Amino acid sequence: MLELFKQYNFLLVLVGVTVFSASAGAIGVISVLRRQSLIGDAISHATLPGIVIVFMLLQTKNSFLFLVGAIIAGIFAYLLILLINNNTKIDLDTTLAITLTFFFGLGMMLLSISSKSKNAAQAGIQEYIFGSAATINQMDVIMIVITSIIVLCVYLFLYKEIKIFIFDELQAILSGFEPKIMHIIILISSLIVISVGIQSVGVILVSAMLIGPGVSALQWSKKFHVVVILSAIFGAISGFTGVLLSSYVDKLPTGSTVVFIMSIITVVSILISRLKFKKEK
Amino acid sequence: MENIIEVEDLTIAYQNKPIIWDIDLKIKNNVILAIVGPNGAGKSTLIKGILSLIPSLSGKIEIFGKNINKNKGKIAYVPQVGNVNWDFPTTVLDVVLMGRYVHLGWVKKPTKKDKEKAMEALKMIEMENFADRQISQLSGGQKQRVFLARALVQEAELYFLDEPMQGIDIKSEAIIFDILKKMKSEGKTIIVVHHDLKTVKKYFDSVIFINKNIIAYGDVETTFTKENIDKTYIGIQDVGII
Amino acid sequence: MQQEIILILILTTISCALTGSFLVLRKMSMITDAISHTVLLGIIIAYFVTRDLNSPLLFILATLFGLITVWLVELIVKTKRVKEDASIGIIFPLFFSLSIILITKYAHHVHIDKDVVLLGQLVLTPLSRVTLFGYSFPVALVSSTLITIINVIFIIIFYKELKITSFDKEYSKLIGISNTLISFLLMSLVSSTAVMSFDIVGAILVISLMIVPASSAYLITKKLVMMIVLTLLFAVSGSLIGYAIAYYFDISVTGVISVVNGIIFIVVMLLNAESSVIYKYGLKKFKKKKFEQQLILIHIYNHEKDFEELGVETINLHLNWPRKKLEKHILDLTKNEMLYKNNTMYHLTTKGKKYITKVLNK
Repeated sequence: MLELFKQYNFLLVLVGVTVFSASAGAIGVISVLRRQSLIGDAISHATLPGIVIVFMLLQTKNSFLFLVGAIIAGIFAYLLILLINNNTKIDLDTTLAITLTFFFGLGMMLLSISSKSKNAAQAGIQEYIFGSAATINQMDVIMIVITSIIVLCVYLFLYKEIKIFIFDELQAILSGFEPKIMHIIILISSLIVISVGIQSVGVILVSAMLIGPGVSALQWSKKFHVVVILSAIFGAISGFTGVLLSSYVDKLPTGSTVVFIMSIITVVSILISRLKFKKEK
Repeated sequence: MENIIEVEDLTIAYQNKPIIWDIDLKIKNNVILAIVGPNGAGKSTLIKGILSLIPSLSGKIEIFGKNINKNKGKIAYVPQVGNVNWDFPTTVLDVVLMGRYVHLGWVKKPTKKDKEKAMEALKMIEMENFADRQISQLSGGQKQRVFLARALVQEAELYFLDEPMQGIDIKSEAIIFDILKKMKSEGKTIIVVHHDLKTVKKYFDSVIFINKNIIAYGDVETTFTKENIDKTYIGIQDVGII
Repeated sequence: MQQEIILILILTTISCALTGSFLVLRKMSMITDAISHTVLLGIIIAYFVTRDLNSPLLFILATLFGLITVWLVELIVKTKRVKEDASIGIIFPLFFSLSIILITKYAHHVHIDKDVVLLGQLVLTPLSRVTLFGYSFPVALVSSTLITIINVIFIIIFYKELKITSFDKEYSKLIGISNTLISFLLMSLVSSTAVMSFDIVGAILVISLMIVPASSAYLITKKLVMMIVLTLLFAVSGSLIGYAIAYYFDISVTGVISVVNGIIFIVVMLLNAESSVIYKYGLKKFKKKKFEQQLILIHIYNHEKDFEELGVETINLHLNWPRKKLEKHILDLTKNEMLYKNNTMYHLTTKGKKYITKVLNK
């Protein structure tokens, strides 16, 4: 009985992490191409206060409501980024750093208010950053799968809109595609991915998976649809291999192993594409 | 329809300085029109204002007798410098195909017919062999032709081209103007911001002289005169025209 | 005790804010986020070598890794396969995940608290002490004083070079200032300041101190001296206010100060704000009135004697302005004798004509 339970648990983690990494990789391509890679990192950190506030109100863990809290915090963070961008000449990098520290600091503050002990607060933050992949439950996996379906639908239905929006926003406007709608759709899908990921695999893995797969895929193909599919594949491979490896080898943290494998894939992809480039010269 | 574009009392300012003042224009249908003027005269601004791409301080604009938002499919615009994401992985054919999107609306996918039309447009600009090339690998002149093809494939009725000949060799320039002439014979209206006064008489039938105000507007025969040129290019030496 | 803590906080604040201001000017803010994650690898490797948590090698290697991070990011960007923002987003997960793997696998028992890097232990700093010149000082006080002095000396010595390379890279190359050298020195300073400060106040607060007060100052002035002064002003007051609140309510110091810094920034931004669209494509409020009145005069000038355009009833339709606005302007202009009404139409006076020809010819 225990054996079966252990096996099922393992399957949950395997499926959860693999599917999540694939969908994060796919949706991340858009930000990478728009030179906004680090927005994912900033907003991932920024969702903390949302989760903490929900926890303060409920006094218990509720995956779905945490998700809602995270998304709302993410929206506010994005609004702050827009506000700074529209009202000042401050560059995106600095804007992200300001938003990140402000929101994350707010989360830390609230967490320390609500926690009975400093250790509990620290444990909470640790779980937030590193995730607790080992304790992914069925609800988490369901949410991850739903998220991936959302990402899939976005690409299926709005493929040409995404293309024209990234390539030539002016032309998109002139063709009657209201950019605000695109911005909102991309924002919400990214937020859902981020918020679901935060709960199961932690900030580090989320922000890494939004960037690494996309960058890697771009080294291999010049066709957009191939790039998106390849990103999903690279993400999935890292997720799958990472979970497998960390289960077989002793004392290997799941999240970090996945990220490390993804980073290696990225570095190798860059090296190979650089060599190819040099050869062509 | 006699006047395809009607502009009334249009004024546009940018960062505390007015660029064009109180513009009145009734642009006729089915012409190849050149907009000329010195740097900073407001040529691009005029076009962007007509297209409502930038907000105006005063005035009214009507295209085909209606507001621009009701006309998106019928109007094509090829802007000056491609403020475009050159890192985006896309082929030449893909870019040209984007010209069909305005007729598809949300969600609908480009059809086989759309792809055929895109190839046709590529043939027109004599670049059908470049269909699978990455857009970033093209030269400046080639990129310009691709964006023209994108405008062509839209099958619009009114075309705005902002300095399309910049950085283009003579051969390509001739090809493009041949295409424009053909388009005019099909009933289209083409408005071009043109920088080379030497070729205005050769390629255009109407001209607008602008320098913050409209100095003159009319047929090239009657309006492209030394007097109007002088009035527009006050103080600018050696404009170098006949 | 309290005084020591506050002193340590202020010194850390000053050194972070000073180095950070140049990062903001060079638009390299997120590199601080990257460094805060990657120095951990340096600490780990140094620990494996020395097996001693208090060895200075930890500090040295951590700082080195900060520099390596910057170097690697630039290297990747040079390959032209990846843009700068994505390069940062590749390097730091690589190093950080590796450090976590190494800690978890080989140093699980050791008290390298990953959170300490994140949260810092400001309130505990008086506990770790060292004796110098016969007096007992907290280690943190010594280190933060040292780092502040180094920062100040560096900025004083290299002020000219820092100023030129931060504002105008091209010009600096022309007059022979090595941008690479200055960058290297600056990033070494950033790295060592960061590493030193992580231990005291935690990574998040270090990033906040480096970036946010300088950004607030940047909104107000671009003059370097003024900006540095304002940065320090914002930074120190933010830290003091934040610490007071955190102390009084017994909550996270890092969190509160980060929030206070953010609030200061937002307040400065809102006080300075001009909505982008209005600023770009319109006019500042006080000039708007004059401009609109000029527009009316130009309109009359252009359409002399055209009843349709200039009729008392119809003119607002042509300009496409609300009636009230137009009437207010007309009243003003009539008072100033720029125009007059005649036969239900508007005309320019001689004074008006003269004025507007001058405006058009400008």
